[in-house]
Amino acid sequence: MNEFSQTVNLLFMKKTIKYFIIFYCAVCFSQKKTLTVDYTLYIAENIPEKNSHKLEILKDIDLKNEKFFFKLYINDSISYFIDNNGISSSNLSTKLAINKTKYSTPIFFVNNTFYFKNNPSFIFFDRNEFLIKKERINNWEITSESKIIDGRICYKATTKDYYYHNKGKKIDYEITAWFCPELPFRFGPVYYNNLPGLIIEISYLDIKLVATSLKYELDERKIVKPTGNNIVTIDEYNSKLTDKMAEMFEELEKQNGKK
Amino acid sequence: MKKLFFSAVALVAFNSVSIANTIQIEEEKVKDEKAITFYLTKCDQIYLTTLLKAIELEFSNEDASDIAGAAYQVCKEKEVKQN
Repeated sequence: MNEFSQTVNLLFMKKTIKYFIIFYCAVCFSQKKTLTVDYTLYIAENIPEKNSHKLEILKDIDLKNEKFFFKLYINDSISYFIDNNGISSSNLSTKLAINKTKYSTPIFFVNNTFYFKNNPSFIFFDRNEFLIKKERINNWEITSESKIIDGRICYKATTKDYYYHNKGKKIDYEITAWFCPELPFRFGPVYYNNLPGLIIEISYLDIKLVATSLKYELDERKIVKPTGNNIVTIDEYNSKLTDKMAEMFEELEKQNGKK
Repeated sequence: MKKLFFSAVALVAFNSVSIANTIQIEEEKVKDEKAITFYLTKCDQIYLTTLLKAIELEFSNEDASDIAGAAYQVCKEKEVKQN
């Protein structure tokens, strides 16, 4: 009898554990994957500038080091990357410091594509004139090089991207990212994601963005889907910008000539 | 009855065609007016001169736009003060 009750108890225990595991997994997988990440901007020291006008404009940028923060909101398959009010600041060196990241307006990511508005500082385009799209990078090279960041093992990945400097000149640059598979979010700052773990640290050109805070919560109201009258690729936008600039310079010359 | 039906359809069709044409013409007119009356204000000129100078100094489009934007803002603030 005693043996019988022990067997029944054991069977009951086994069943309870089995159902508990099933229930726990169901709860875990049915939950939305949400995360809010803070990134801090680090700027490398400027190469001494020979041109005095340029030096005057750039002189305060170094003072902005570690003073800019960005937020990355992740909600399942979408993300939203936004500066902490720096870009809307009227301070020029603040704007120039943020420009170093190649970020100009908040970046919304959905369906493998990044969307963002045109830079409002170019006054000859309306604020809502364009919604610029940029495809995500698919050719990351993941290395076995690793390092521990905040107690998590992270791996190094590299790739290349480009930006348009001026007059349509395209500049390629290399990117180094450190992602942590322990954090199963295929997201990261600015235009960079699609690695098997959250990007904790990224460096390119003369900047570095480092994740300084992680919260497994999200205020969905903070995610604002950008809109624009014309959806264009980044290449199309740069071509339109170059053309518009040329047109406006011509107009300026015409009007100055009339005087 | 059939005649009446077809006349009604024809009337609606022609009407919409004529309306559609009017809208198109009006749009074109607006475009033409914009082209004729386009004029750069003093602040626009300051913006463009600064933009051109910044590009000559090898700033990127984004940086140059922000530098020119700052000059434009100063100009606009001066205008408000003067008025």
